[in-house]
Amino acid sequence: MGTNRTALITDASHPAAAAIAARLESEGITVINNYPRRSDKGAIGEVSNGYAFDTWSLADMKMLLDTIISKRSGVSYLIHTDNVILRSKLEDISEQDFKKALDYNAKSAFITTKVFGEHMAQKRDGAIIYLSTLHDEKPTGCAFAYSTAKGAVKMLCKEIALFYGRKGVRANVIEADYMEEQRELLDSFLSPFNYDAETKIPLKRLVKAEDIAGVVSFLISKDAAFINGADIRLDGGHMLYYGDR
Amino acid sequence: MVKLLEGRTAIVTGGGKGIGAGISKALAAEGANVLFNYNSNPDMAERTAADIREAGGTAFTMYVDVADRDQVDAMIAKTVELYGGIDILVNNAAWQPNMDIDEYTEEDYDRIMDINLGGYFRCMQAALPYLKNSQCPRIINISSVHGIRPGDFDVCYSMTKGGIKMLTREAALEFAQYGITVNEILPGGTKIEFKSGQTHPFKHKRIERPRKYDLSFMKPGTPEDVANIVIFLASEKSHHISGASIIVDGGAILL
Repeated sequence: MGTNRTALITDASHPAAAAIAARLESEGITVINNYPRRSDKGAIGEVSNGYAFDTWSLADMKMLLDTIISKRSGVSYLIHTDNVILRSKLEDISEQDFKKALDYNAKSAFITTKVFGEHMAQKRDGAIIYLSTLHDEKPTGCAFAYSTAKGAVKMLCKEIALFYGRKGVRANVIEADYMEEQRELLDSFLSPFNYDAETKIPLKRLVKAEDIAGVVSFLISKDAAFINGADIRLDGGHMLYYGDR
Repeated sequence: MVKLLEGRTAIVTGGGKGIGAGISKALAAEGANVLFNYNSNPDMAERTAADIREAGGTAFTMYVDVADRDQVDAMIAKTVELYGGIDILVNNAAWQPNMDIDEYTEEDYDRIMDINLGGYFRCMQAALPYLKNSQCPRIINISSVHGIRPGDFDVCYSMTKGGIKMLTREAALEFAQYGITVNEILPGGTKIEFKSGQTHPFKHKRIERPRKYDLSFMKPGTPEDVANIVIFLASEKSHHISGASIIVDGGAILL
């Protein structure tokens, strides 16, 4: 499947990114890792393990596309993995932090789609996956701007599934439960959703990076050729519970 | 007859025209003091305020760009100065430029996020200290069916409406401790008065169907259809509803 195929992972610092890359590489797909410069404002461009371009900057993403095209045929799969959980309360979050949460999570999805979606549409071939969260439906009680942004990404996917779907590019969302590495960031006294996870998830464990990598691999495969605009829930049944039971 | 919202105070963003004007008028008709802002059409806002006053209601309108924190703060301060507090916040102001993703510039993206999502966030945060003091505090966010179903005419408009869904749910969870309910209304196609030169949003060609398809029940709604739900949500009768998304589209979502 993977001959001459290239996947771009927009934020390779995501805790599932390494497993996704390993899975795709095992299938013969070339993986390009990008590391957005959120905290480390180091040099822009090529770094030892990939690239360092800001996904929420149109200029940066155009530069990244140009750089990739100069070295290979292009990108076949866009895997949007930017997933920045900024703890915040609506009551007292600053304007700057609100914008930051939206830019890192939603604008990055919009900008990378605008640049790489159009690139794939010109070839009339490709797939976009937004690695998102259950919190595009379920409130966090501790990171409202994050879930607001992910709600926006969910609708971006559906619009893109129509717009670029007509041009041969599919788009889908993976609504993944949180991984162990993300758990502390989602602790909230307003919602027991996080605290109850092991008890409530029928499969008695949190999601693993390999679970996510498997769904990514499936969604870009020929077997998923007719899946477009879908929300794939990856939570072991966590969302089936109602209220505080 | 006692009016449902007698003596209460409401803010309606973008309350001078379209769905917002219908909401402003309905709130005033139920006895609420209404302050609404306008951004692009002062004439329509003044006309709405005049209609409310002629019907015996209380209304004040002012220019406010909800993307500007200082202007939002000024709107909140003016409301408190005029009416002594805030009981109901209706977030409604939105920008809908009707562009596909290849037409949107980065600046357009930033602007629509700042109005449609940032404006709702900003008004909720700024009104919160006063809503906490209300006996029946309500936040009602006007969204769109395109927060759950794509519209195929404006990618970022739908993104912002999807964001409002989660903004509403998070606010409902966070503000429950203060007795504030937060809900969203999702209107479908609604018949409103367009400014001259403005076009209908549907940019992609509609499908021609044989006459045997009877879709005569599919009529666009009116601002009053949306306002009726606002009145209910603003009233005490809705006290057990929070974090809800109420679709007002005559059943169009079923097709």
